[in-house]
Amino acid sequence: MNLTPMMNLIAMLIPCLLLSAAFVEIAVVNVSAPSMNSAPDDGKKRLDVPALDLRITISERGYIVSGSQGPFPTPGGQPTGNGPTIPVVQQKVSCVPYVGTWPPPRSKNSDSPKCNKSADAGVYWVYDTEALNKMLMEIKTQYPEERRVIIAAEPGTEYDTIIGVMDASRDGRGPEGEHRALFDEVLLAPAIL
Amino acid sequence: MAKHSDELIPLDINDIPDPSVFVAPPETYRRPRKKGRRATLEAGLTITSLMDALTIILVFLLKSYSNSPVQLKQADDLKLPMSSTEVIPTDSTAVVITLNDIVVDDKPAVRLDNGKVASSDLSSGDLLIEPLMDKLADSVGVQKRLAAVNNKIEFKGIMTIVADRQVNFNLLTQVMYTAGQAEFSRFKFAAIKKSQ
Repeated sequence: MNLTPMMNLIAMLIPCLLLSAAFVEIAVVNVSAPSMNSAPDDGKKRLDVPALDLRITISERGYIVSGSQGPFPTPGGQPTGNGPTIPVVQQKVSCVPYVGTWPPPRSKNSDSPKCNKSADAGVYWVYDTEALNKMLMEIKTQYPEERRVIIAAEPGTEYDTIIGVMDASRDGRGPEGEHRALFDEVLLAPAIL
Repeated sequence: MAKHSDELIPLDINDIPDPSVFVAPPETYRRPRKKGRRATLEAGLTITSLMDALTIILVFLLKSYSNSPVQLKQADDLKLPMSSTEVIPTDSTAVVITLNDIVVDDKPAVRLDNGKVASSDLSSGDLLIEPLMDKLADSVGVQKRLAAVNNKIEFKGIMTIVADRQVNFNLLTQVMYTAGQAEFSRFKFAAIKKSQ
């Protein structure tokens, strides 16, 4: 069988497909404009259920979760006072995404040695995203209608951390592993300059 | 001397050879054909295994084919964060914030110094990035003119922000404020989809 035309075809197809191949899949997170530019308000506020006004503030000490009734108590049940609702925790972190720098919050980790090789692992302060996710699931059961969350952050907060909070507030897994939608209307409040 | 000759002469030198060697081959036996010129002409390139490999590569490339509107080349100053989101990017104005510059629709707009915009480029209380505003206003102008001529196109004010994971929130706020001034109201933050 003469395979030459077939070979020609394949030899052309491979460079073409190589050019349009995407080895990383890109996805997006929908975010509304900062509230200084007229936050979207659909005007149908329910009066029987008090509005939640869920707000997550990212500081270098941890997450502060608050609602219209003030800050929520910590997952342990203590009132937060001035501290964060979910403080940063010290954990052993793999260095793969942070070669040449520190994991966020960077300002808090800058005393520890930097991640030099991707094979390294070090003990760093990291945000407790799982605890936040658990807490938001509890809040969602109390306010099943709410979908909006306001995310605010300190000016130095990294983009990575903000995306992490959005992930934690978008959906979660229930006790039986079922998928549960949480707060998916993200409003990004401006950094306090 | 005696030892040396012992080594050279094989021990079975005086043995009788095997009688079967002298028997004539049967009638049906054919001598192996001598390799002639024809045989070398018939030999070709064995291409089957190459075809197999190419077919596998072809299938793999077809599988990873994408026509996503957000194309990006990961570089040292542009490493996207990971996210579990499932929303597919749409075609819109793309602003790429790397650690060294801000790029609007593949055209560089602002250079960043140490992750910050030079203060000479800022106005309105350090919130508005002037060169970025010019570029965005151009982009909005083009889209609005298109929308005016073609009623199938509509200016929706959507912007895709592709940012490095180390970009700080301060810079992000400045970019979003500037975009807000240029009539963009909905943002899409790009991230790499986490494999489940």
